[in-house]
Amino acid sequence: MKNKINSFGFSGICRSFAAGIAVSAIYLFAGSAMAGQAEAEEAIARASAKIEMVVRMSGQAGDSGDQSFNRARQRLSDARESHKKGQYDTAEMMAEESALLAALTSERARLAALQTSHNNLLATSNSVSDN
Amino acid sequence: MKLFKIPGGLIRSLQIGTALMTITACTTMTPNPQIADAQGRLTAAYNDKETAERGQGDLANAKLSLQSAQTEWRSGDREKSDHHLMMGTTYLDLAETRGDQAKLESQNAALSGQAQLNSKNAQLANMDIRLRGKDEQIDQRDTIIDGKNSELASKDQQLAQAWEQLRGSEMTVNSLGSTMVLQDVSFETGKSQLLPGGVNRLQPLINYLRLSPETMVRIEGYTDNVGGIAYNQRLSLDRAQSVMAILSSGGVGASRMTAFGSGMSKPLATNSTSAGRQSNRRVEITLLKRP
Repeated sequence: MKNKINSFGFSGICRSFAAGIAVSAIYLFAGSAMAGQAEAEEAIARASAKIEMVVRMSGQAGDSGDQSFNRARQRLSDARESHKKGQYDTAEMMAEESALLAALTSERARLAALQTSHNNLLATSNSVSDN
Repeated sequence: MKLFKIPGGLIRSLQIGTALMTITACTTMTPNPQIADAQGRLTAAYNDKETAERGQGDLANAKLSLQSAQTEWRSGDREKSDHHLMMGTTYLDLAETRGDQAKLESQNAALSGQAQLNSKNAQLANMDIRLRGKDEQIDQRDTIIDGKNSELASKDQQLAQAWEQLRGSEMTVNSLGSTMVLQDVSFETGKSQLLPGGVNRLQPLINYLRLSPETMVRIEGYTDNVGGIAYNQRLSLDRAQSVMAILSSGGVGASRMTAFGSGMSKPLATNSTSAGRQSNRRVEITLLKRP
């Protein structure tokens, strides 16, 4: 009886232990996946907001000939696609690239404005010199 | 002696596996030329003053991203390596853009200052032109004024000379002004016609009055008590008008002169002697003081 009890108790403990490990693993996996999804969604939201801001600030960013804006939008689109497929790491990376490209667009628009001012000043300076 | 025999299939499998591992190792250990290029750009960016200053944060991020790209490349994770490479090059683009902005801002500030300077210089040049024009006008006016002054000096001189000549004609000063007396000898007896000697005496007066156009003249004739009052009144007025006509013909405007006939009134001396009556027969020409 004692042996039986011992035999039952040991195998029961082993099974319980194995089941616990399995459940923990499932929770860990599921938790990890959920964390990756949240981070990807956050990154996508950030990139989307950044692009929206660039459009609002410079208006014609898409028409300025600067490819970084189109690339930013394409990356955001790719990020959303990857997110749909459950490829959260890829989606997050794409979104990060998109946000950075949007920031680049914004700075290049400012550079273009400075260049326009520069050309105007040069023209003014030359016209005054001609006089 | 029987040696342990290794199956041929196993050897081939080992050979293939080794080859695959070698290929994989070579692939992952080969430097990525894009990462190398990006690192070259990073070094150049750090050497550029404006980019290094303005894009300091971006360059730090670029450096970290490129290091991650290199690490992932070595570990064989192509996707992450490409991601970090892309992030690194974009950070480099950002840093370079900010550096270019700093350069343009500096140039624009200089050009703006230069433009303001040019504008001020243009304004000054215009003002110089206007001032030169004003100077020329002033010079012209100075020339005119000099001419006028010269004319005035000349007239003053002539006037002084004429006055000196007039003073020789025995002018007396009284409350009305300066009076010159033409005595009876300047006229024919009982007539108003001035004798040549009398005309000659008037010449310095004419000269002076022509040079002093604002001087007003009062001409008053007197007689002695010989004859009737009406006769003497008429004779004194005629003589005064005769003098006025001579002055007028010499160029003295008639509007400046007034003739009176006072007859036998206001005798200068007694009419009981011949010498006294002679003194009383006269024409007084008074240069009136200016009010």
